[in-house]
Amino acid sequence: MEKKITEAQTILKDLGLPESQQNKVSALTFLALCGIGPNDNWNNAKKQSLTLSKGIMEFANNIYGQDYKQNTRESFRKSAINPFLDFQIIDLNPDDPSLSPQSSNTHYAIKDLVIDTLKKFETDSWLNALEKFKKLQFIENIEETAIIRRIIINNYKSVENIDIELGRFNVFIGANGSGKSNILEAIAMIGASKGNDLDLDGLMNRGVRIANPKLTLSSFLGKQTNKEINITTIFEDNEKIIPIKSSFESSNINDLYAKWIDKEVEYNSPKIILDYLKEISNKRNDLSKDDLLKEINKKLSEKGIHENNKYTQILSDFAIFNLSTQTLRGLDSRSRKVPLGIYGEGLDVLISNFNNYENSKLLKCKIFFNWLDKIIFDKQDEFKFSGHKLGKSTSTLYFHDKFMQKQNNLFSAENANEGILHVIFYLALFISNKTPDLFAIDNIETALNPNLCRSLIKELATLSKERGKQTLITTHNPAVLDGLNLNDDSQRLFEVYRTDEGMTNVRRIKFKKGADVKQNKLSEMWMEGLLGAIPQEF
Amino acid sequence: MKIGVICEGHTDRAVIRNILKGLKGIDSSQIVPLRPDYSVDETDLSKMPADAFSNWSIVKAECENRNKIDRFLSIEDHDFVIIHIDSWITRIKWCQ
Repeated sequence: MEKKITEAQTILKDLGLPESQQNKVSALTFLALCGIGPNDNWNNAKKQSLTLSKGIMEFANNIYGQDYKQNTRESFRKSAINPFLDFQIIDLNPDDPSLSPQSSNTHYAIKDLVIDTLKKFETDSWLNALEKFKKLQFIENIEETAIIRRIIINNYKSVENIDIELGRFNVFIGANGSGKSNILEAIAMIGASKGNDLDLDGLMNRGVRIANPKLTLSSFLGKQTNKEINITTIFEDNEKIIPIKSSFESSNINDLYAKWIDKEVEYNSPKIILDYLKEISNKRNDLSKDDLLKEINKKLSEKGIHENNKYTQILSDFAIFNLSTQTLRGLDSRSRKVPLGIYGEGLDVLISNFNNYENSKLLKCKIFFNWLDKIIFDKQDEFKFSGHKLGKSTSTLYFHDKFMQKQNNLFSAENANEGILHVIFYLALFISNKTPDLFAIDNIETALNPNLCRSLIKELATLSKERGKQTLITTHNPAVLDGLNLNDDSQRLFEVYRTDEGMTNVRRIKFKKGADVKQNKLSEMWMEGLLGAIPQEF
Repeated sequence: MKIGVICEGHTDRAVIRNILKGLKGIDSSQIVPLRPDYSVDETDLSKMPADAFSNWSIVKAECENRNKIDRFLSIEDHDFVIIHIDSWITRIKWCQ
């Protein structure tokens, strides 16, 4: 009997429940909900709906010989039921979801995912089963499947006309001023339009450097300036192809503060609305105001305007991250974007809310820093009163150093080395499902040792697949290239360069089929000038 | 299409670049300098006689050991290498 209770405690621990949910009450509740008696095998666990008093507590008393009285109900709720619900171990009222919270019929049942996981207990595949459980436990852990396959940009800053076939993990290299950031900004612009905030704030929040409209339109010597910017993104989602297009025109090309207009939306909407009104004016005059607006929005959406689907959402969430060490330390905060700001804001809050699965992924950062023992969150922000930081920093992030004396091994983000702050930020950005599914990182190498760059890129490329993230990264550090595996088609390397006329062009750097195993690292090939992407003027 | 260029000096490449632009309309962004290159750093360069940095024997050696040529040609769209040797070199060799 005791053995089964201990096993239940071990399982709860393995499932990632905190220590306070590994006590006897939690274990008995778990056993009851799984219908496991003292002599049952875990792979016989079955789903059954139980109320608290008559179901769970009676099971503990009758089958496990306990003597819990009615007045211990609260302790069952506190130690087991509520945390089990939070950790998505059990369902509330699966047989009748409409029951009121106070109903005496309130019942609970173990989730199918837990039952499936338990079948692997004490087998060789227990660890794999646990990993699968932690991933599927929270619905937000399921990764996005859509990625942008192709992007076509016309007339944006130095980009007159480019067409890029993207992978999931894309690295762009090129001389300073070759136009790398312009490519990223063009995506931010279509994102702002799809997020319905195509104004200066919307653009700046996504990391676009605001220029006079005349400079935002491509302008080349001896060429007439076209007044329209065209950006098309083509998504691929489970073999489905979804194009999303925007055409932008400035409301006043001489005014720095002028608004950009997405012509696809602005110019086509009135016609669609008027056509629709004409169509219904003789037939339906019984529509309420709200219904009419709803119908109009539906019509616009059918034509691809004001469409709000997961693809426009992915574009709308796009941002260009360009980290600042001061921001990561919590010493300044400029971006209001949540959960992570584009300069490094919000890191502490995001990771302090990580679930088990996300945390287990984040702890991989330990391999990068041999001194790191633990990451700590000072949620009450009390450590500053014990002299752990000057108090200027708003970050509640702290680190334990394993080489320092136990009583004196805690230091704040304000004092930590910049490398770890950058690395944790990138890991959090790729791991969390609350961060954008599509984003860019400008100059990823900032503050990182070359070898760390390499390992980090390898880790991020893996995470991008696991977590369904798509990313465009720019860098000037050759070591970043050594972390890429160009034999994997989802990882792609691009050279960005300017032509004699100053136009930005992009090409994918790829080895010929059948080429012998290359003798040198990509970093060396870049430094030697074999890949291009270096300035030649000096 | 990228074209690798192996020549004695940077000025030779400038001429080649202009010829390609003028005759074939090839954009200079398509020209990749293979030699002379930046494989020697400033510390070593400070001890090196000026003519040792780049000369026709280095060009010849590259053609023989194909150190950079093969690696350059292993990348897609890298299909051509232009090798430049001053013609007076051949005359010297002839006279010798």
